[in-house]
Amino acid sequence: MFGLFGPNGAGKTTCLRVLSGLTQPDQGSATVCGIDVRAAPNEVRRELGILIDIPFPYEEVTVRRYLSFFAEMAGVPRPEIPAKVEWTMSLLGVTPHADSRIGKLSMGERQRTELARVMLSTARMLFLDEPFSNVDVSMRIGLRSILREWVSRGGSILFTSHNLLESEAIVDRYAFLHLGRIIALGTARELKSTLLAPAYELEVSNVDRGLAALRAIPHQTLESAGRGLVRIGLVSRDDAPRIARTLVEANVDLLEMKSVGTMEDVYSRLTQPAPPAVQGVSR
Amino acid sequence: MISWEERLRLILAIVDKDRRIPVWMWITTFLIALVGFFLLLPAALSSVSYSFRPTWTWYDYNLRPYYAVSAALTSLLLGLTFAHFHHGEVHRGTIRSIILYPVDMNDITIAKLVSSLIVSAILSTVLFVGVFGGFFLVGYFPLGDFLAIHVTALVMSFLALAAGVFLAQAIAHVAGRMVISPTALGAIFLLLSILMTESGLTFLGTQVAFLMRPSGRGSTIADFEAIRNIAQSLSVFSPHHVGARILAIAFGITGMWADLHVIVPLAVLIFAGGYLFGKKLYLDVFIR
Repeated sequence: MFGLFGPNGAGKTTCLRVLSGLTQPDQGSATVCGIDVRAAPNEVRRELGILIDIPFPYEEVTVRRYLSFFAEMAGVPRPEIPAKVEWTMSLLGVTPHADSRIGKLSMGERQRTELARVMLSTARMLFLDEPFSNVDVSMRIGLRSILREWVSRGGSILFTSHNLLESEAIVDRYAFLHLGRIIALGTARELKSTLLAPAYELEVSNVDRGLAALRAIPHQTLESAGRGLVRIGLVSRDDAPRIARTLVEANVDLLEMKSVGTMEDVYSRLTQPAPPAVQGVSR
Repeated sequence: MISWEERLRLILAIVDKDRRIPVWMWITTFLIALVGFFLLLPAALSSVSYSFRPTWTWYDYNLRPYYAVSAALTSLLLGLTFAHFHHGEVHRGTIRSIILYPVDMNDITIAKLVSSLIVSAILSTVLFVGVFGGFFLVGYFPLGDFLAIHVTALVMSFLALAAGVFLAQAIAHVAGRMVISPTALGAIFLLLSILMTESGLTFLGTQVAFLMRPSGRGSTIADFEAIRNIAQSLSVFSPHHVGARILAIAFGITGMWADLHVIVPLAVLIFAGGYLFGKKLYLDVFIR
């Protein structure tokens, strides 16, 4: 699962549109599933399940009829359509609304209906633009596992979102866009190790003794985070193994140790504005 | 390359969705036809009696008005249904979902034209046959001939609409955006196809001549002849002129040439150009 992130106007949706063969690129080339997007935009869309933009479903039709129509558009053989529609509706939790008109649904239910439309696709690649918007928390957890399962069965997903914390649970590789250009690319681990200072949150048996012992390790920040927690920002990632050793030598139990850098921190690091230029200094 | 079978399947899926028009449209159509039927029923009953049952004969003067009624009816319904199916979908934004599937501009256009043709063919036939139903019941009007008039007018209206729609595609490709919507240009072509008939142009010409006449002088026979000559020359651009000529030949009214030499190459040029340019159009042209 590949995540595309960036501020509003960075070009995420435009990128998806170009790759879907919907928007003419000004220059350059792109291939999706080995197909040249400029030469054969229709063929590209045959290989994709796409969710772009705010959904504009047919408000006057029922969920079942809406999905049956798009199942046919997606190339599902006619005899298989009813079963596939039922399966997809139950997967996305819209079965109770199967015979309701879409116009009567809430925004979250509409979004799930749109996701059901995409999941009807026979394609092995999905383009999902903000798939979790308007979806409640419990359904998001379910959706994340559905998408992970899709990927584990050999599918690929190109995904955009503004919610980086949520994306950490599902995205394998990240690309950060800014003004139409990719400014960072890699896995969460690669990006964090490149862009963030190594920081850890430690749960220890004695905070005061722990803080005293950890001062021996070169650090940028060292502070108590309350309730048996200590937070340390190291100068070098190479010093990370020393933390446990140092605490044991000081007779302090280390109950838990976790990295505290998130992809949101990576995003902030990438998009933070440059400080005002000082004479003779530039960034 | 997407096969013709696959394209046809996608087009038929869109047509199948579109053809399910609301029930109130059917009810309204049947009610209008019923009202028309009862309004004309006394005239139909008085046209025949037990002792006198005249044989219907076609002349130029009785073909023109019935063809005009059918042309107006089919043009109106084709224009409205196409606007509902095509522009309605763009306006409501639902086209954004359709374009996410492997269709091109031509597939969407063809599907919407076929949907309009099916729905307006049924509705207009109900109205045309229903309103004149009394005359058919008493055996005064030949039903087969009237159906031939209606089918011809429907085909010619459809050609005018389709030409406008495909021309809009070609213009969109050249301009890089939808300068004029297919619905608008289709409607303009439908209107022109009626106004550009000999009767339409003669009517317009005499009105213009009347407005521009020197004070104290009315239009002369010579003026009228000149107007009619111009109208006859220009009417070759109207599909309805060609349709009426074909019917006039079929009904034995005239042996004159159907003037296909202008309309056929023009239509082929517009359809071929629109189709080729339509293939190259990126579908976000609906959104921009």
